Amino acid sequence: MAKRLLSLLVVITLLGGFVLFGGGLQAEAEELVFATVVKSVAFNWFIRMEEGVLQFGKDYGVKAFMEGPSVADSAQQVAIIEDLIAQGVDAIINVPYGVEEHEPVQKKAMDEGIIVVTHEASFVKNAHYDLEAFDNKAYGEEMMKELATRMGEKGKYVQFVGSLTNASHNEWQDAALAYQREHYPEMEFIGKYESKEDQEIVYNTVKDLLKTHPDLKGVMGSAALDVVGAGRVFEELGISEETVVVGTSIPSYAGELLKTGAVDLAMTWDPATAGYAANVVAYKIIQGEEITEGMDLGVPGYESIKIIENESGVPVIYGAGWAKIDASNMDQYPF
Amino acid sequence: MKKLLNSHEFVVFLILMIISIVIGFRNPLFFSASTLFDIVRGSIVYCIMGLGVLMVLISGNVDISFVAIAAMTSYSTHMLLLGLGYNGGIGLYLVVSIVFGLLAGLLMAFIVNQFDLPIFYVSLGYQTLWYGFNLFFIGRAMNFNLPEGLVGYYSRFLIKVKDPVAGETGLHVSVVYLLIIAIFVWWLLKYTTFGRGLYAMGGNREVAIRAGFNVKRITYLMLALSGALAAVAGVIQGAYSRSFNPVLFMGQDLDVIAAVVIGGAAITGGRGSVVGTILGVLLIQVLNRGLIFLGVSAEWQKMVVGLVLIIFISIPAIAEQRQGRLKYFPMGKEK
Repeated sequence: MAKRLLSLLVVITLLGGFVLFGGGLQAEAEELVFATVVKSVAFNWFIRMEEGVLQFGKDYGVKAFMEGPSVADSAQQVAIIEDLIAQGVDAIINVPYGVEEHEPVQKKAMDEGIIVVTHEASFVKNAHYDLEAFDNKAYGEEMMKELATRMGEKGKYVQFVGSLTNASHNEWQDAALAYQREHYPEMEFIGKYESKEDQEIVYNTVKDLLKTHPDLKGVMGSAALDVVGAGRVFEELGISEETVVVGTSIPSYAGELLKTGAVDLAMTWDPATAGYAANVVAYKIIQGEEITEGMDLGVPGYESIKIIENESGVPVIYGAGWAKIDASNMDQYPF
Repeated sequence: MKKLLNSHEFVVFLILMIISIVIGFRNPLFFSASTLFDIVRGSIVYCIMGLGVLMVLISGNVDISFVAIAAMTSYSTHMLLLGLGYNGGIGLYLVVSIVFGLLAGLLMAFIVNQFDLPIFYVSLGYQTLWYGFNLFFIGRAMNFNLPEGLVGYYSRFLIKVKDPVAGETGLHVSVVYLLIIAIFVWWLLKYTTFGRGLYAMGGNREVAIRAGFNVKRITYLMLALSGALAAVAGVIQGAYSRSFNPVLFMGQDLDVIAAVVIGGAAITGGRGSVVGTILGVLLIQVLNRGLIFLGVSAEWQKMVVGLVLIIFISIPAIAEQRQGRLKYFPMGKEK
């Protein structure tokens, strides 16, 4: 018996040690609490966003933090938001993995008096505001122009989206497809595939697609890892010279492949400033300030915002401009 | 010969062949050396983890924590060696991670043995524990900085083939690890007291104890080995994808178990083989990838995998029923 107790003690000490380091989130009274919920906390993209969220917290004296599931999964993300509603946070900034799956929980938060601002969700129905780094249609068209120029305006290409229900990803790719059909008739669209934000899925899909479409020349990526999976295939097969990979990504993911040219171009916006700006929007609403066209949200890219209502009547705030990153300028983007 | 034809492994092999022929009939490009090598490459890590799962299943237990152990061991090893400025190849990665894997397995066995708990119960918490450990103590970001010795590992081949359509591909060198591990596990199961003990435990735990098997020692060895195999799989996967991921394989635990069960391992214990496990993983790979060759939707393919799983779990049950009936005819009884 004593031996069993002893071993119980050993296990508790081992496991309990982890817990003690943790420390809970305890908000002080009367301090505003803003939660930013993202697709996954394990993505470099959102770790960069967290920097912006924490900076906002410091600048505005708000308890601002970021949460999200370990892997991109709407069900887990919704559960986290449910918890935050129960905790009674003042604002939720949500970057939904799938927009539709998040509508009910966002509505619930709004009904509870919580300010809801979304990001990468310009079709959203239930939110006070949505904030986008730029006009998604223009971004998708720009991506297509970059792809087409590099492909010589002809040949087969495929698209990847993180999830078929991700609003921004699909908006980019649909705009790109429409632009291609209008301007580059010699290019052939093969299909739009779901990467589930997992580069292994892109890797296997591209490899298998190559067997059915040996003359595949171009890949467009939406999630930050899409171009990495595709670039790896072309590099390993030794055909990265003849193929073109263009899409949203960041140097900490695509860096090595940007250098070798297996990924031709990464397009992006800074997740940190987007996270900062979205929190500022929530702050201004709580302070009773009106969000107006041309307003300065205090971070680069959002000095003069544009506001357009979407189909569901939710005002969507647009910042200005995106960045194009290749081997020559990747050092300027430390994320 | 008749025994071979009646064996579960042969049935799996036959179905694997039939499915391959059907896919190849619809899309002849499926029949190429590069497709074969791609499928093998995609299967290696799952086979290695599957062989660990196999031992646990044979003993009449279910463990879902091996995916987290793979993530913890590979990610911790990577961050540790990176911190020490290691610049060599995969060798030291394997050694360090195997040590971590053995320790994680031993700790689990300690908990299981001391408190007489079913492995499944412990593994529920154990999985979350190690993913949490990674995210909290080691880091949350996927890390793309490889030591020089690992750069290029992803395209090191035993046999190279000129792919008719897409450059160069080949049989990846890591297949050697799988071969060594498969032979080792096969030898353990067939020729050692440990192996016979596993089957005995799975057949009837009480009887095994009375027959003189040291069930606790077997549990220690089994979970330590399973942890080490998970560690090897984690490192190989990291080397393939050129990045080490703190939440590697998250959500794929049941896929691996399903593959092993399809390969003939009984979820209730006492039955299972190395060859069956490898065939089971290959079958799932072919089913999953056939989708792109056939051009069917992802949802439909998920349903097919589910149906195959149900059928394969039913086969042994039906066979046993039939054997039960055949008891009245001693000639037809096999066991």
